[in-house]
Amino acid sequence: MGISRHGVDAVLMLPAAREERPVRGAPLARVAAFLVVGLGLAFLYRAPAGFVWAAWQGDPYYSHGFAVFLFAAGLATWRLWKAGAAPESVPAWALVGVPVALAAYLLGFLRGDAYVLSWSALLLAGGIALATGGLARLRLLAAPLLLAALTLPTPWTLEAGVWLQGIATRAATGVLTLFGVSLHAGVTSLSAGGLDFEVTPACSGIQSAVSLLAVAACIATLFSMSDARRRVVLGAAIPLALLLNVARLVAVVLIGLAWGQGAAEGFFHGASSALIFVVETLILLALAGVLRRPERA
Amino acid sequence: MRREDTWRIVAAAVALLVIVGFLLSTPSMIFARKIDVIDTELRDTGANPQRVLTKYDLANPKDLAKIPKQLGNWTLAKEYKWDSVATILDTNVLLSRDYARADVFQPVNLLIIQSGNVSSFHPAPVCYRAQGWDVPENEGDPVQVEVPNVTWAQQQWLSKDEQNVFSGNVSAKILTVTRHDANGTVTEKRMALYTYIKREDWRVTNSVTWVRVEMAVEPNATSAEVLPILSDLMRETVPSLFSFKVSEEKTLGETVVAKYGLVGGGGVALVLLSPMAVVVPALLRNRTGR
Repeated sequence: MGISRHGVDAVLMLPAAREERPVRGAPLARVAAFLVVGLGLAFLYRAPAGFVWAAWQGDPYYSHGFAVFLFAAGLATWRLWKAGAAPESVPAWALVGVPVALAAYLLGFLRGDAYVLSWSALLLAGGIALATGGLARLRLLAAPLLLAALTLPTPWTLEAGVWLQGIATRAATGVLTLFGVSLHAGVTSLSAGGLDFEVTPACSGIQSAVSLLAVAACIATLFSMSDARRRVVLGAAIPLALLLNVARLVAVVLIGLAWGQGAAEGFFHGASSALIFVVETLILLALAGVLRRPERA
Repeated sequence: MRREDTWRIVAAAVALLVIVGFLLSTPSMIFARKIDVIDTELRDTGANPQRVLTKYDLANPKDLAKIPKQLGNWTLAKEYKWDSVATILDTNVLLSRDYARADVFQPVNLLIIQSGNVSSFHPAPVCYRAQGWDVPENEGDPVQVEVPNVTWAQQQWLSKDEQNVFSGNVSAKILTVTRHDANGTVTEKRMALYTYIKREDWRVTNSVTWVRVEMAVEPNATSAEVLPILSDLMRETVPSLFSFKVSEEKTLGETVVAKYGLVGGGGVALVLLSPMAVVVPALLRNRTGR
């Protein structure tokens, strides 16, 4: 069976094809197909892309979006390059993903739903992968697609964030009470020693949880380990982020009580989130390092 | 299915969606690209969205400050400076004023928030829940606020020659939120009447303005009692913000069919079927193995 360099492979400028059987009119048709797909998608996804870009720029829950998306795109390119050319033919059922994705787009368009429109892009990417390379190519791109999924806003993120704000506040209150701190807790606020602390959406932990999940996905992809161990690394990310977020809230309140509100809200408040994220990443790397070792018989 | 043909079919499917998109679009969606819509839902399109023309830049605090201090029988009682709240909520503009009416015991708060980041904008029910309020499961009931022709709008905002004075019904939602004590007794109750003004580009909302009037009420107050009061302030506020489009635009598909009848319908069907000219030969080629 001949191996050709059509489709994504051509876009990625992969190594030259071998044993390709020339198809009459194929180069022109291929260029036309790419043009239609490229221009069509640029037209259809201009506005949804603007919505996602705005989320990456200004939504505290999606500030990780651009970096993770770039990594996902890089990983997809690398995996496609490493895998070589896709099979020359795929079963007809492999085309099913494309109409499903386009139907999702149409649904989002009719409902005026930017979330559905944005997510249909991911479905379409998966559908095109399936159509042009079968299940093998879809499996190849599963990890980058899942990573990209972490960068797309959902309508439930806000609700989850608000819920986590309440959980973080209650957990921090519990820990501070154990330390003997006398305080009054509201739904998302703490008052202690004449100082008021507001647990804002950015302090809910969801941002670091989603970002750390993305980092965990990167680590799980890059480290060689069994699928079960990959799941352990992925599963550790969210609890770890939420636990250390509570630790950060407790530290902010304790610093405020010891040195005043200015100290709590100043440098420490800003720097601690970055510092804790580095610590969380190091813990995940250590976990992946341990799990990477060969399993004992 | 040969990969060469799968790409042709993908291209035809994308082309079909572009065609459908065009046929379902109005001229404003394609050429103006910025459309203002009043809606009761933030995430998607509600039951009765209304196209409007905004009178000024809702993202400009100076423009918002021009909203009159006297709105019909309502007089400004207090203006809040909530810059820190605006920062926390990541909004561009926040206007919060209490208006009082002689025959209403409580002042009514008028809140206008504008944000260009739609995904992080808290819809009204989420906003209340985050502040510890209990929100009913249906997250508010849709209502129509009747806004008759108002004369002061012409005096304040329009030139003498302009006839485009607001008149119509505004789609809004009335939401009752409560706080309870440990025994489950309602200790605080508020009612809010709100609507969103969404700026859309190709059906994607890229900025949102939340207009809300809200008042604290007795625990046993009903929405039937409070709605007329809230509606009164909203109907006075609305004409300072926007006017309705004179007529709703038709989509390109509707326009073609309405203008050319059966021939137009046939033309639309032909355009919709045109990608099949690529798909069918590709499918046949693979079926016959040629």
